[in-house]
Amino acid sequence: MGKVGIVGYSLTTFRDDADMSSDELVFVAASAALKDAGVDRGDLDAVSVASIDAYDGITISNGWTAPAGGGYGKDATRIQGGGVAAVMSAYASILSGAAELALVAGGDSVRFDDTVTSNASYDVFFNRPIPLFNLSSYALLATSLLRSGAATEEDFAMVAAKNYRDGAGNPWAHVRAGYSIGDVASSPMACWPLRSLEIAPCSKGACALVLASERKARELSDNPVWISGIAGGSTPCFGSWAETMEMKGLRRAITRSYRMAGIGNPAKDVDAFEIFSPAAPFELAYYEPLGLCGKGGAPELLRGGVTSGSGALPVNPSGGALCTNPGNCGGVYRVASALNFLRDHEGARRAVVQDSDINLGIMGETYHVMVVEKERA
Amino acid sequence: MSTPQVMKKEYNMHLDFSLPLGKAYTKWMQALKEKKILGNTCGKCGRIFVPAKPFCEICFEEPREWVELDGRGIVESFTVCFEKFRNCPDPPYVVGIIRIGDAATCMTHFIGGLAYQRPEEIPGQIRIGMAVEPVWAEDRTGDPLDIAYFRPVK
Amino acid sequence: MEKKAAVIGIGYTTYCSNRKETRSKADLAYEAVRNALDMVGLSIGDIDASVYTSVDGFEATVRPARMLEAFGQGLNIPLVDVNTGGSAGGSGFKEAVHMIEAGLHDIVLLYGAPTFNNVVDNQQVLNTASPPVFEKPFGIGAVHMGAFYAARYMREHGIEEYDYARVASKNHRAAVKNPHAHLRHGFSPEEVLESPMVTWPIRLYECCPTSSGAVAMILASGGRAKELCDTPVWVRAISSIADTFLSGFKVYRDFDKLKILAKKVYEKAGIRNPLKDFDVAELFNPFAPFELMEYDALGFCEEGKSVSLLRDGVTEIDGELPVNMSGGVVCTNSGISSAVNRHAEIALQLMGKAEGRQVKSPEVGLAHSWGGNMGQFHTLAVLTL
Repeated sequence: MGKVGIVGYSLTTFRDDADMSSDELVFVAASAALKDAGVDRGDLDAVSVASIDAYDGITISNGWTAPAGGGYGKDATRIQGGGVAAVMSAYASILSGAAELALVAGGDSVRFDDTVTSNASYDVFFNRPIPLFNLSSYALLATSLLRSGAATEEDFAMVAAKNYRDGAGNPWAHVRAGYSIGDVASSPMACWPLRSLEIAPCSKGACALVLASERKARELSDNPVWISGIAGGSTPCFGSWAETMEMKGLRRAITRSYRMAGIGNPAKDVDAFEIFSPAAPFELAYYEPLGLCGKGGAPELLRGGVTSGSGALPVNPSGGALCTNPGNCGGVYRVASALNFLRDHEGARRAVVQDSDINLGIMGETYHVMVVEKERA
Repeated sequence: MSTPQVMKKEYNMHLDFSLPLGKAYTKWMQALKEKKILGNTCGKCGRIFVPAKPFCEICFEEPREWVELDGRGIVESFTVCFEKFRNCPDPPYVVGIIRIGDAATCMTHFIGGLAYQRPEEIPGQIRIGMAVEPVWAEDRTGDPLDIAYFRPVK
Repeated sequence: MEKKAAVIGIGYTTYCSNRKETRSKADLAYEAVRNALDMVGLSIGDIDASVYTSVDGFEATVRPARMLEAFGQGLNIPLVDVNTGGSAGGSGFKEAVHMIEAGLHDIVLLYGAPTFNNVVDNQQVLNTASPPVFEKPFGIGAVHMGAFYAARYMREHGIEEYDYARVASKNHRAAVKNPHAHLRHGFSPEEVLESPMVTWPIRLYECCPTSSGAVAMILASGGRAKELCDTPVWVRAISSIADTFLSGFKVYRDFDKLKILAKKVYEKAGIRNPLKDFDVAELFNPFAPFELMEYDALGFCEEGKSVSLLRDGVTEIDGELPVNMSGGVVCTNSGISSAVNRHAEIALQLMGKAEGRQVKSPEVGLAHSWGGNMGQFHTLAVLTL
């Protein structure tokens, strides 16, 4: 199978509010990414937009953002499952031979209430009327972790504080206040057992990546970053609660992308992880499926400082979603954050990006995981 | 044997949004308050955009020059709506695709001020290429409806 | 030409008026997927990935696929959600093809959702796709967008109302023979002309209905396709093209972007003379006049000369290039299912399984879809035996 490289990328800083419309924001990120890659719009073969209508306030919202991503007159598509799913579309486009150069972009400008939006993603008969929405679904998972002894409330506050500490040092991040464990633990209870500082904000900003075929990547870069693994998995919405907690969809995406990338021992083979944890408990719940520890080993890993940005096994060195959480381009931002890590850390060669659509809540969710690696450290 | 009865559930999705318009759109909208129709120009290809654009889709650059147009345009296409749809105006109403001056792009707007006895006569009153001019609304807020409609130039 | 991805199975539900629908979205999804799997003798566990296509806003649900379990989520099969407006069926088909050609998956399930099956007023719903601020306040639903094209084309080339009615009638008559069509009244051109004018120049019987029904397709990679299917239908070329969001540069006199897309796709597929090289075509015609504009853009005839193809019967079942023998979107419009249907119809034609509407021994077919504000997107696929 051929290779696909990432030859350029760009992000804007993330904030509470955007002062640009969605198309303008995406244009800014896309043109900067093209410049970073050393190509222009004329060289592009395809554009893949990461967004959902409900985060843009327009039906068929890719109509607005595809031209902003350079897609006028070109083969443009829009994937709704998160940034890494959009990357996979561009990746497949290239490997199929349909494109040599593809741009992946997303942008968040519009203000909306993500609890109302997520409620509208649940089925009309059973869950929407309750109302189930993203935060309450996160809280259900958090309760399961607490009551099964998998984690404590203090662990939730600790992982949140770890994210905030790392975000404080990230110039692109939205929330850079560097909240302490004390700040988190005393923040108002939002949806028991989750406190407000254990839940991601809604961030505005944009991000774009330029992907290339192997031939083109070698032309454009002398040390390309390759996508060495990419896979997805889903979980049913009306399965048992045990199924929801087991997250087999996540495990499938991890197992297959690791296999593609030849990752046998993640703690050794991977230098950093950027994962989508829109509420503190998720990061803890994902350590074991990611292969960082055995079952029940997450709190110890966390407490030992291993997964902090400066630790031996950084997880969310960008500060994660608790610091930066744009609905549309979150997955693309996580890829960009992983690329930043590889660029900024000497000797770092390989990173794992885990993404999903759980900004809409859990149950019925889809995960996508990808592995990026530099040809040489 | 009777057909099975199934239950029905009425539902809708009500989502509220707030959209920042950004520099180019905001400037264009504000000008409408002063009865001005502006366009911006791509420095690379020279195309004039009405409504203004934050970037030229073709050259992929920000258009930096602004021009003021006199507001006259021509009809590139149109339709006359005869049926009532929810949240849409009462028929008959005419929507046109209008090119203002030398703009490379067209805008969508109402065409009004037509004389007719029966609504069926309206399509015959409108020619492709017909010259039109804006009729301004009394109350203007920085919105495309600051122009109430376009009417044929006498 | 490499043969890498093929259609091996199609599953339809029946189509009816959305007002008369008693099946839930979950029922429809299961029925379509079940029928597709049965056709090819596979079980859901054999699927490697599923592609769902619809337009969320039109379903009044954010990401409706998450709440439907018919796509293998119970077995953790990854779901990819494609939304490019009305063209999503074509974009989703392309997604499935690329995943297979890229070597990511061997067997992919594609679903065209019954987007409109729960709407109360379709044009109101479609108005939500109009750009806020710039175009939405002008009371434009899809039919108005269609009318801008139909009006300009008519005035540009002196097309008569009767010809628009004639092309609508061709579709209505074809639908009578299609057991999967919704409207099967077989209206004559005269009956079409007598139907009320919706928005000039489009009359009611030239306008698509709001149907409910769904379609699923199964695509497979070369080796698997030959194992599982006697007549795999190969995807020789597929691509899409995007225009501006607002009216932009459009003057609505033709489908200029489709013309550009056709050139690209024909080159890839080795098509030199479309009228001769294609044996059957399914073109996206939610408004019957579009079909004529598509003849032009796709190079079946010279610009503006589409009416002569129609009058000479070239695009009827026994003509040189039968177009829309399914009855097209103008007779069955179940939202994004309509875009997938075009590909399903061509596949069935090539497999010799187009019950009631079978064209004689077709080997090369063309499937088109269209969508987005003012027809921003087109997709085009060349399928062959």
